[in-house]
Amino acid sequence: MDPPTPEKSISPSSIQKATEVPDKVVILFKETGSAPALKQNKFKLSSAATFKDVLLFLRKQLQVQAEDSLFLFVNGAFQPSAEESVGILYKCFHSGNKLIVNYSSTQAFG
Amino acid sequence: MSGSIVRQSTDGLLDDGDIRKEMWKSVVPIRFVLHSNDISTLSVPDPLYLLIPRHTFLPLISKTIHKHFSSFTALLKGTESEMWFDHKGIPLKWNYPVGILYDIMNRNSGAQPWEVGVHFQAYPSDVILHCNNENTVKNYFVNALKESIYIKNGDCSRLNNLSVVDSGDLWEGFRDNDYSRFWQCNQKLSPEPSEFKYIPVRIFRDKQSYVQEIVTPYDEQGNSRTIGDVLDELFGGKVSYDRVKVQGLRPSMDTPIVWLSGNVCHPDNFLYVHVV
Repeated sequence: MDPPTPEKSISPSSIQKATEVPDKVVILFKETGSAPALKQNKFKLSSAATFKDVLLFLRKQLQVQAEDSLFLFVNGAFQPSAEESVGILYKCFHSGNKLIVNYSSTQAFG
Repeated sequence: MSGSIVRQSTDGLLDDGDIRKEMWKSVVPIRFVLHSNDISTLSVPDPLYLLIPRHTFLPLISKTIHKHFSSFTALLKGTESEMWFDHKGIPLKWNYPVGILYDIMNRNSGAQPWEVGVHFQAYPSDVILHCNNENTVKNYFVNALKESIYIKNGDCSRLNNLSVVDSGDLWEGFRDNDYSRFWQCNQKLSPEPSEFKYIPVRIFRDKQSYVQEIVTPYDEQGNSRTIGDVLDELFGGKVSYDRVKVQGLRPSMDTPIVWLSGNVCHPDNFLYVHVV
């Protein structure tokens, strides 16, 4: 049995008092180690985007070759799984009004 | 301060090793069946019946399943990485704990044993992450743990400061289903209950995905917040309590969320809540 339809319109993130998740999330990219720097390091991505989308976006921005590695870390602490959404990561790990993502060509953290 | 007295009086009851051990031992009975598209012999293989720990991931048990079915299929290229599983045609995400998969796929019925289809071809890459080997699972698990430890402490220093031996025990204890090996390291990762920044919670409301929340463990007076308080806040009072399950069980709604987190969480330290 599916729950009654009205419940489906309830979005937990919109009700929780703690953090409102904007439709577009500001991501601040910071390079670590020998990773190339970005000319512009702040981008707005949809909160519905997955972390895989973030990785592909950054690879394109940095013009990383297919055979080269690029590792992304939220707050310099952990690598989210490819299917986690930008909105949830913002809600749980934002600082100020942005999500900080460090990137590196090696496994820099942990 | 009266608030801190309340905290201390509940903290004394917060650590319940007996409950944790029971949770660790809980299993899902599964009947694995090779999907008909994958059978290339005249005889049909017998199903494989296994009791699978609720907290484990499917790739960590796939060797046994591979061994049982591999002689009945010509599709095998010698690796397990193309193996995947389904329930009634819905692909099962390997990165969700088995117990969670069972709960979300069996909303009301709870049929036992649970029938799971085994596949050796046509990996549904659009809905399931790829799993190359055990290292993929380890990487996923360790990073989920880092997320939850970050939420509890505000950083990952407790995890990063573990000795090499402890880090090894943490992963291998989880992988090998060794309760004491895992927990003696895991307990070093959480702050004192009164020092929790937030409680890491993942809430499932459908078969495909969860919403991750960070939950304040105490109210402004310093009293423990209950799971009922938390769900009321998150869902604006729209959740009927008898539809809430944690580890397949219906918790009392006046249970402190910090107690549930400490004793009924998954080994990745997230508390998984299923709202049917």
